[in-house]
Parts: sequence; C-alpha cells; structure tokens
Amino acid sequence: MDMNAFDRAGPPPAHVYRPTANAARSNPMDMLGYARCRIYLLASGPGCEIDVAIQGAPNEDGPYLDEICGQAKRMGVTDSVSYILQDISRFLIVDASRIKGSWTVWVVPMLG
Amino acid sequence: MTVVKIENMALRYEGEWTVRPDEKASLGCRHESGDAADACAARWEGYCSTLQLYACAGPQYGIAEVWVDGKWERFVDLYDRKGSPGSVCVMTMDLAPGFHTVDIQKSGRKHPRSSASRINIDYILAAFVRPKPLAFRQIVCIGDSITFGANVADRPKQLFGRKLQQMLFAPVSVHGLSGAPIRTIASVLDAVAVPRNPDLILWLAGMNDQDPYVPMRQGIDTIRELMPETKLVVSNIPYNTYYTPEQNETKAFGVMQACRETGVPCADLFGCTQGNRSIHLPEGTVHPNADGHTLIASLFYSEIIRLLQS
Repeated sequence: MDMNAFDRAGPPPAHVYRPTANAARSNPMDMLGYARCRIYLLASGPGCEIDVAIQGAPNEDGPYLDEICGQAKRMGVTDSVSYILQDISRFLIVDASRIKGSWTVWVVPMLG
Repeated sequence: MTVVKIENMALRYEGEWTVRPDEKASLGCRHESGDAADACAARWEGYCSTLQLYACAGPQYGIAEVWVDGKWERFVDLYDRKGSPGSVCVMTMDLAPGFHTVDIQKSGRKHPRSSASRINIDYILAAFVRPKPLAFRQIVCIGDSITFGANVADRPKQLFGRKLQQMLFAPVSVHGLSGAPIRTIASVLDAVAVPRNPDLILWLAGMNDQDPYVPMRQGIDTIRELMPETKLVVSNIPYNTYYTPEQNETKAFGVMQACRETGVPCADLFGCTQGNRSIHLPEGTVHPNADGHTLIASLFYSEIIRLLQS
C-alpha cells in the first residue's frame, strides 16, 4: 500500500509502466487519496502506435471497469501525448493493445 | 498467519551437497547430502512460529538432526522401505513466535535397513510472524520485467514483492519496467521511489544490460544520493537459457561485483538457480513464474534478515 496524498509534502508517488506483448496489462497502481491523475504516453520514436484503456477498481483485486472519464480510452495513439483523468478510482490498471514500437506510460497522481 | 514455501535453493549449505533434479520435487530439484562422513548442514533463519520440513523418504536415506537456535531438537529418519512417491512432510515443529535459526544436519546415522546415511531437503513451509521490533515501514521494489512479473499469471498477488509484504508485515510497492536497463530504472527513482519515502529498496537487476557493472555502481550511487537513509538489497538475475552462459555470467557477476565494492547486500539468485529450467515455465525465456517469485522472495528475505542481524 502506498503513501497517500496527505502523508507527505513532496512530489506525488508516480507509477511507470512499459507495455510489451507479454505484459500488456499493468499491475494495479494505488492512487489512495487522489481524485485526479495525469497520464503520459511516451513513444520511443516514429512508427509507434498503441491503444490504451485505463480501468479502475475500489480494491486491488478488482474487478476492473473502464474509468468513467471521457479520456479513459485512447485508440490509435501514434505520438507522445499527455492527458488528465478526473474522478479516478482507488486502483488503476493500464490495459494496452495493438502495441507497435516501444512505449513508456507514466501515471502521476495530482493534488488539487 | 502467513505460510510461505522456502525452497531448498534458498537455504545456506555447508559440506558436500548436490542439487538433484527431480520432476516431482518443488521447482524440479532437491538438495541431497553426500554419503561421506563429512559434516553436512543446511541453515535457515527468520521470524516464524511453525516449520514443516518436506523431503523425499527412501531406502537410501539416513537420519537428519534438527537444531533450533543452537540446541538439538530432534532426529528425523528419512528411511522408507518403498520410497515416497515424492516429497512428504517429515517434520512439523511449533516454535515460540519470534526469530529462530534452524539447522538441518546429516547425523551420519541410519536405519539398519537403509543403504546410506545421506539426507535430502525439498523445501520448508514456514509460518511467518511479524519481526519485532517492526523492521520496515515502507518497502519499494524496483527492477525490470522480472520484478513486474511478466511470467506470473496471478499478478500482483504472486509477485516476490507481495510475498515479501506478507513475510515482513510491511507494505511493499512494486515497480517493474519491462525491458528497462539499469540506467532507465535509476532515472525514474526520483519520481517512483523518493516520494514513497522507503526505508528499504529491493532491486533485482542486470537482465537488460550487456555488462551491468558500471550502471549498477551508478545506480547504487543514485539511490544513496537521493535516499541516504534508505537501506538497499539487490539480487542478480536468475539462470536462463535465453542468453549464452558467458552473457549470463557477465550480467550476474557484474551486479554482484558492484554490490560487493559498495557494501550492498546481494542475493545470488543466479548461483541458486544454476541449471534450473522449472522456474521459467511455461514461458521458457528469462522470466520466473510464481514459484520462481517465491524463491526470489525467500532469497531477499534471507539477505534482509542478515542485514537486520548485522
């Protein structure tokens, strides 16, 4: 279980995930104490493409459902991009598909 | 109560022992002592309340002595006329909850009908109890796809990080970056590890570096600069057939050398798993399965206990 937003004054505890063919679904990411987060999809170079769905659950074991924010699903992403998810669940999972090239996904909780 | 399997590879051995492949054994092998009169002993240390020893019984096995906290506890006769169909529980021992040292030794004695006095060990089931005083407040696991659990069906429950959470009774936050070399992992420490303010970092390292020695030295320096009060325990890679033996040795010994030179405890996962292909099933590449993660957890636990005792 992670530190939550009220336990510390420093930077937020980020999660980093590198989707691959045999690891297309991230481990659960604990967002305890945060209502928003910023997603960064970072492509390693040209020719990359990915579909990303953010799913959430109230407990770590799930079941995980698509997050309700309109940004929760991003299809056909071909370049680095970031966006904000509102009203997030306690636990998030990044579900990646159609992975071409190398991607790094950051999930960073946000205060305020 | 948390019961976790301590694989035979996770024990410390003295004397002549052989790793004997056995498809019926846990993770496909047992440790078997020699027949000679030399002393043979296996040791495990940890915070526990109950121990069960699993071994193969047969017509060629002798009598083991079990010592707890330096005191003789009992004999365990491994002789069986027909031989057990696999490993069986040969000893159950209830202990006062707390820290214990358990030694399993070849006594040199045997049943009159036994053909030899050798002993063997498959695994120990240990009921873990909370270390007192509580050892750690927050633990962070960092690493690559092995730490992530790329060959683990039931993530995150079966990850070595989560098993250590149960064994140490402390929260463990797991961060595995698939395909990432050591430099990449070190580059995210400020965002991933520092904000969680861990008092212990566990790092399984080296699979994605051709020669991890230099980046590992730099990675250790980075952790010490960013989190000077945080303890660090490292593990090298597991044995695998994906890379050549020379490549694997460079990876495994590079990490160990960097740790040795900087005074960082390092579990020798590579040495413990030499020749073992069971830990990578069904994938068959470099990623340990759930049982492999249990072994990794046991090896990290032993290094952590040694760190606490020092």
